Amino acid sequence: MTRSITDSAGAAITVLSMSLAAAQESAVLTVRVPCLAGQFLAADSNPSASVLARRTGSGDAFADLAVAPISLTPFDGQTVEFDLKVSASALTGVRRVAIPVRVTYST
Amino acid sequence: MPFLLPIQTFDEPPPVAGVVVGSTELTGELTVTIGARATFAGSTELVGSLSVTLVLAGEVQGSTGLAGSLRLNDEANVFLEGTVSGSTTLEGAAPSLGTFLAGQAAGATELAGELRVKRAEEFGLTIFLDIVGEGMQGESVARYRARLLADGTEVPISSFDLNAPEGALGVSLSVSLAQPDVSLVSNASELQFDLGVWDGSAFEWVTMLAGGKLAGRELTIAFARGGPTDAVTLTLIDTVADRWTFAPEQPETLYDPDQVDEPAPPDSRNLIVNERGAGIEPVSTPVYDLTMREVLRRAYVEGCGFDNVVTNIPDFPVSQVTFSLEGGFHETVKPLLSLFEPLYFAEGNDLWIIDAGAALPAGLQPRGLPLSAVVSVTDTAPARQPLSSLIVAHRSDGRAGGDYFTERIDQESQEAGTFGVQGYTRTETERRVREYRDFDAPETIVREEVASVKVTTRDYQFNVVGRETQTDTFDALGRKGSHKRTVEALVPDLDNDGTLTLQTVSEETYTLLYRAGRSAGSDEIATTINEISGLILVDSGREYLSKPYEIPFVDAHQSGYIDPDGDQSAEFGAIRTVTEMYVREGASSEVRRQVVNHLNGGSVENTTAQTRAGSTAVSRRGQGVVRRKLTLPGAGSGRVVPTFGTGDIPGDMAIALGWRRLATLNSPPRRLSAQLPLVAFDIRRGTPAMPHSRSGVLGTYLVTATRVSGQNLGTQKQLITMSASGKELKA
Repeated sequence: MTRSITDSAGAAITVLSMSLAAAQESAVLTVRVPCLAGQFLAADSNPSASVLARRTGSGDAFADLAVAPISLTPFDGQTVEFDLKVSASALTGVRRVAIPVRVTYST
Repeated sequence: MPFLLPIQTFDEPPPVAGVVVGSTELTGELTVTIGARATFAGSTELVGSLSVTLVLAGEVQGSTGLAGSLRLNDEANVFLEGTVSGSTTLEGAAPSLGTFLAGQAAGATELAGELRVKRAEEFGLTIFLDIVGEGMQGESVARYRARLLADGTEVPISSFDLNAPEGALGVSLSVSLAQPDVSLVSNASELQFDLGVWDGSAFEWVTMLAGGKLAGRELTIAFARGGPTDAVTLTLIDTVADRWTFAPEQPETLYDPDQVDEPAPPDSRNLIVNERGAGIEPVSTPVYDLTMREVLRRAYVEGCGFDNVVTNIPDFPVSQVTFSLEGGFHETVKPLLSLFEPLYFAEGNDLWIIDAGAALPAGLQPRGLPLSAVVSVTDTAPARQPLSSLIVAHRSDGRAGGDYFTERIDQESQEAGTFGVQGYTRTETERRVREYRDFDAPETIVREEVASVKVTTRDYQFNVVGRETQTDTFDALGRKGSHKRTVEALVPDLDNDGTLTLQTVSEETYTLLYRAGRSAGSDEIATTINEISGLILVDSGREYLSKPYEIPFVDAHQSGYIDPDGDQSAEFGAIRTVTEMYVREGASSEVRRQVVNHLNGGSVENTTAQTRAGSTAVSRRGQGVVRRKLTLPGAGSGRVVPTFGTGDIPGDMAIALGWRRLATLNSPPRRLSAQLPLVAFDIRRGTPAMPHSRSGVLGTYLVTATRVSGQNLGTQKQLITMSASGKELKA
């Protein structure tokens, strides 16, 4: 069966569509990630926004997934919850961006 | 690709099978089979040379087959898998065989095979973000300016209507020129439409349409109030909208060789030819593990030129798609997704295909639309179709197995003639169907097989006058192996003065033999053998070729040859054997048919060879696929239960869609229409929005269409407004 990132209710998430004012952060969303050794939780780099995440309940600082992908190796075989939020850069005008967030072997 | 791998010699008989020396590590399973007698499974290390230790139970001879799934460590996201087969030559082999012994040999092995690279599993989500700059966030901003640029030069306009409708890929724009001069914009002009917002010191421009082309124009020449009132209205489309019409240069079929055979090429009558009379040959491309997402990528990225396809529709296997010249890419793909009723739109050069019926992720806050941000809101609930249940017709994979089976009896009957009157017959058909289920989900039938079919015919007095019973058997690959058919009929009983009694008059054993097909996972019917035995009338009173004359009992009965008072008897024996051999000839098959009559000493009655169109190929997977109908029960009953067809979508997904369909019929999603006082740049097709009523939140809606209009531009009466419509998102 194809694995996927799910929300806290277990529904697969493939698209998150949201609006943000410039230089602001979104609300924190909790997602569940099935983990395998060798994989990372990563995101594409985008000058207009960054995707931040941390393990739920860890108390860690949010990491920019484009700069510092989170290794999923310690959670091999588990489904782990992560806090996810988006931070928009300071800009003028209107920007529409699509940022892929991936569970990947590449970093 | 040939490999030359010398086999290493060991000084002593190696104790364990499957030990290989080396430093290159391949992760996966390597199975070695020699002479079809020994099989090893396990991990293997290889370096330069391949060392294989084999436990043999006999002589080493024949071919060697290797099958494995290998991962290339240096390429993090690439897996290598495939099948390799070839022959092995052993030189100086010394397989001294006892009870069992590892054979040692030095020699060369040549392997030829086909490996394919498969991407490692990678998954995730796409965040689609609208970021609105500081100067555009205020809810009281009211100073706008619209401009049309033709090849970079501004063309003054007096009004515009920018429409992003539901169901359309791009946007359309209608503008009225401030100066009624049709020469200002030509067909070749590159058009751009911007909307500017005053930030206190300058306009911040937002491009609403780029790369547009002139689609049409209307010139009106008129006089009113003592002067000319000429007008030019232009209609523009963006180039994205044109991509729905893209098609391949030659018909192309993508197919999964594990599921279907390579499509047969069209014959010359159906071949499309170009203006020079040359045929445009279709292309067939095998794609292992073909899925909907891969079809979307090939159609919209490779075919239509989008950068990405972003969708929330779950992936599922696809056996075959054909991009034709007439249908193009989009019309081919659209039926695959139609059950999801998706919303298509393009943003930038990305194509979005959104299942508007999918619920929002838990915790995601839609864009708010409070009463202060709208002029009006209309919430419409469409008419309901109350239903308590729905039949979901879906596909099951017959190869899925099943831990156990139960049986059900399907019965049907047909009547002919007038009831109670001679000549009336009633035919009853009874099918015994095996329903295979898994222990962990006993409510789901994973496959079914017809175990037997019995057809019974009764006369007007309810006497059985005929009965046919057929029992099918299948082999381990799910292919039909044979059937046995028994026919009972009302014929004279020679031991009872010719009284008509129900007797078994024939038994037919039909056997199918297969050979490997041209594509992986497929087989072809090579030979069919139909052996017919039955009741034979032996007439000792009439000799033929120095033996009592023999004739099938049924034939003798129908021709009136039976004489109960004569020197006749009945016995059961072989009557006829029909053998058909199928020889492949391109897209057709030549059938060589032989009929051997076993009566009266036996003779070859007929031998013919005919060419028939089409192949005799069968897909193991395809043959195992069955159609199932599952009723989704609701409260109450007694209503008509409609059927919801789900095509080739897998069963679990089809059932989930069925539940959604049932819920939608009972409570259709509401429609939203909102008029906004300002232009909200972060509201577009696909935006989840949450409008309010006077008492709270109306619900969550997905925006499906937007419209921005401007009138009296550049005057004191200038008015720019926006409207949006949407569809309710169900929880």
